[in-house]
Amino acid sequence: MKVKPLIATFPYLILFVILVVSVNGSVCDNLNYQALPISCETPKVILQPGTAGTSTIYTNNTSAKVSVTAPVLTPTYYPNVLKVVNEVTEAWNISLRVYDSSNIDRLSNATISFHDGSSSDQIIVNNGNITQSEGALYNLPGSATIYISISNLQANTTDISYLYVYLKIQAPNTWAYDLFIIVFEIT
Amino acid sequence: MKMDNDKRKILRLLCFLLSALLVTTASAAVYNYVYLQASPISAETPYIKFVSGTDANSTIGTNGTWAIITNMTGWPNATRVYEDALEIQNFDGDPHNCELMFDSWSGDMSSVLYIYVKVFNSIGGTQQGGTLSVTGGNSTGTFSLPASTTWYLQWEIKWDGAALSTYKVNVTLKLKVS
Repeated sequence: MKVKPLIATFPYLILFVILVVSVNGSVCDNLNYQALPISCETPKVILQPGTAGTSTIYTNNTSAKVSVTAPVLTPTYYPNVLKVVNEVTEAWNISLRVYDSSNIDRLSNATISFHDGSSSDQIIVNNGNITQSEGALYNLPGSATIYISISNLQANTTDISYLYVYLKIQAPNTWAYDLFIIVFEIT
Repeated sequence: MKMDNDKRKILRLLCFLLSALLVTTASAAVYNYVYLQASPISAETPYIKFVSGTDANSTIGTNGTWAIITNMTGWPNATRVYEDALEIQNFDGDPHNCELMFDSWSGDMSSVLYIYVKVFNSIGGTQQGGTLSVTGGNSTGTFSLPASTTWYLQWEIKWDGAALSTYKVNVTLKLKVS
């Protein structure tokens, strides 16, 4: 006899809970945020093939693959595997950063640098380890070209190694930058 | 006599129908007014606002409750990163839950490899919440913006290698604040 009133109140209880939950869940503000437009533009900095090793430049000159050989006995120097060309008069700061690698253990030494008179070591491999994965920002003046070199390149076995690297191109006085992908294939 | 009886019956039937009509009309008209008031509904100062970043030009609306970034670009087959495209600021003394959500986009969408939006607690700092993918149409998930704090919205844009310099997309996001 006492159960019936309890059963009768059950739907009201459920309704009450739903109402409370609905009210709690609906209190919010929406702030609109637009990006109008995001446009594609012609690259202001491009990659061009070097004169040492073999380089492949991909569509729009914003990514590249560099193939070089690491001898087992004698360290080798590739003075110009790739060129970074500034197509405009404004200056940039550039650097290299390793974001992935494979089979690096076999490399005794390798140093990847920028140079155009002065030089800046960006990536260093020593005894199979990447001891420097990112270089300091280096000035790329307006309408200038700088060169990427590989020095002290030596391996202890014959095989193939890869370094996957970002070329970071940053305008002065800003946090905005572009990333080009450069793959170093070392046989 | 029979005619009188018939007339009487017809009169009774008419009376019945009239009564039925009255009852029906009256039934349809029976309702109650229950009053509900919202008093007052007031305008309050927003406690979460958009603030211009240092990397991109933006127009901030009155009270900082909407924003338009007007000059983001990218180069084909390269990733453009704006670490400080826009900032969101909590002016309140209490933390608030926020969620940055995809709303819509238009234009040359098929030439965009990805557009990511991430929230950081400082420029180059720690990411807060997940990654909003414009191409994926998702959100950052809910994150708690601490009291009296500014966080930074980072955009990452990559056009495909065949994209032309005339290509454009428009993106609309919304920030849910509770």
